[in-house]
Amino acid sequence: MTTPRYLDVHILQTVPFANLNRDDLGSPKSLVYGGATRTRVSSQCWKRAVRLDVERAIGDPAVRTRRVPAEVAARLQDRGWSEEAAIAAGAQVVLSANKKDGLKLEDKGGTSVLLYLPRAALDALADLADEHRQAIEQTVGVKKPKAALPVDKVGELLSERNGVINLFGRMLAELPGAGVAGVVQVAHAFTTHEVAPEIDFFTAVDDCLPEDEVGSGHMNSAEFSAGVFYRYASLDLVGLRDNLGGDLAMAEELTKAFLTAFISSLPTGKQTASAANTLPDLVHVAVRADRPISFAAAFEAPVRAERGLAAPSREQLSHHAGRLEKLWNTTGIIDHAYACIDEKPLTGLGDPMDSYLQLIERAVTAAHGGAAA
Amino acid sequence: MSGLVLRLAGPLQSWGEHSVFAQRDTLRFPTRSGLIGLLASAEGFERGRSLTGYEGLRFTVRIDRPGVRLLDFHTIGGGMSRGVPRPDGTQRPQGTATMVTRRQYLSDAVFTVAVEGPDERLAEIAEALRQPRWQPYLGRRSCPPDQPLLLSSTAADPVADLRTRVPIARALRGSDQPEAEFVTESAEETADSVTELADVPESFSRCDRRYRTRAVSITTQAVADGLFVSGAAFWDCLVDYIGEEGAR
Repeated sequence: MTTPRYLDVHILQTVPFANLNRDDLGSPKSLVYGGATRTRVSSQCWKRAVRLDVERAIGDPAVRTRRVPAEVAARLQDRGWSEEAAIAAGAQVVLSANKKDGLKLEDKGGTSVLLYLPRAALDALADLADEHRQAIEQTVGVKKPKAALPVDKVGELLSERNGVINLFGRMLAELPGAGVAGVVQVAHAFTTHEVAPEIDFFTAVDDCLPEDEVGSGHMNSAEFSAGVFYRYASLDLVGLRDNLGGDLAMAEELTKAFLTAFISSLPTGKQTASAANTLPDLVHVAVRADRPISFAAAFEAPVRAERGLAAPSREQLSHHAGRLEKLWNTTGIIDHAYACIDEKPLTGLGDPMDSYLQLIERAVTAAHGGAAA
Repeated sequence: MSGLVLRLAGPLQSWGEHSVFAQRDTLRFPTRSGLIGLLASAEGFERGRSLTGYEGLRFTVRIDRPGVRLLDFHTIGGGMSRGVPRPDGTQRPQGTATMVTRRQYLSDAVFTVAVEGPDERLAEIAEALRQPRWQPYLGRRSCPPDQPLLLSSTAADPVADLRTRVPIARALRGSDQPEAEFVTESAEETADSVTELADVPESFSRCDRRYRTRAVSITTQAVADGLFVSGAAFWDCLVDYIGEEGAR
């Protein structure tokens, strides 16, 4: 049991007065755990912030769109194609990918489902159309044109993946082989303690009120809360290497980009009104050979305030991790370490590191270094 | 024939029976398809692979804590500055730009599950749960389970263990009787209620997902008095049970 199979990342993060993720009534999302109501940030919400950060970091954006034909057509028109031929080429992308029950064109020229592909693949599709320009131009005006592009090549380009797709996966039933199993699992973040949301009553001043009138221009209330969040995500390292066809250098780059983004990113909800731009208080990373392990149960009993909530939460996490390790024994752990704002050492979370950067470097090496041998 | 004992606990879980895209329900206990999905994913079964290897399994679910039903309001496309684009290049009008989905979860729920079946299959499944191919989850990907998930892989009579040995994380109050609800896979005359669920998976294929129906009985049964423990003592009792089983 020495192959690194899972990378678990656990974060404690203090978020002051904020509403990062709200429900249909505008309240911060919540959940009940251990009989106590907590504030929650849904996994989808935080994951989106992480995904956009990873895209920025690796400089290879992906697009989710139904407008692949139009995008290809626009590129071809820029290259001097006539409008009709360019539109025919856009349609050809779908027609040529179309197997039985597969991708279809809708009336208005879009694809029947949202496609998710690297932006660079759109350029590659335009290049492909350029190569077959003559065949495509012959289909202009034909009522039910036949496929003029090589089916395999189009399928390949529409199925192309980039870093973000290899990490977070892609669901596409219409194109055989285009589905990608996501390797990142993100749990809903929740506070380690009980939280009752604050009702913030507010008024807005009318700046142009006549002198003899008083009163506000607007009155309403909004809900916010504050707390220490436990955040957890797990990365399937074997799955990631499989998705990348065994490219270890890319696996390391993506693992690093994911860890960095998971540590530093924040949802944007109501941030202009709250500026709750915090960094984690503690990050613990474990590279495991057996299975992912969440420490959510450390906070099943809600933490009570003593010297605040953040410090007792850190102690509770460390205590729980140590206890589980004893129960489980350490054979599953290949490497584990933590970095934390406290100077007082914590037992149970592996070696202390000086910075998050060092922690990330160490985790990436432990996660993929062993597999190269 | 021996069996497995699993503990399904975590902040959130969700066991949909007839979820479609925008409305995702949950039953108040784990479905057979959810449980088979959990085991098949641990074993690394790709979607579309035959599920006959799970047909011989029999699940008995003890509801330790029913939890609280939670409705998650989830939107798609709201982050796009001009709304969701249509195929022809126009935008969906402002009022309908965001797609809304509503997803039910059980928060704070705990279930203990006895799995009976052919010995060799159970041994394979237990091994897979110790080293799962994919990350396990409680009905939905965003719901990782608390560990330990596998309490015992060699229980001589796992269903009897549910009645007499595996602790329940709940305090008995006042006049509460020492009893718990059990969900069993048959229509029993003595049951409090019998219901039919469409949750027997025939195929998890992406394009061809099919389910059969089965009858389940929900029965309140007496369990040993000493099983109800809360707080830190619960953890000790759980560790004791795992230790006695020596199954880890």
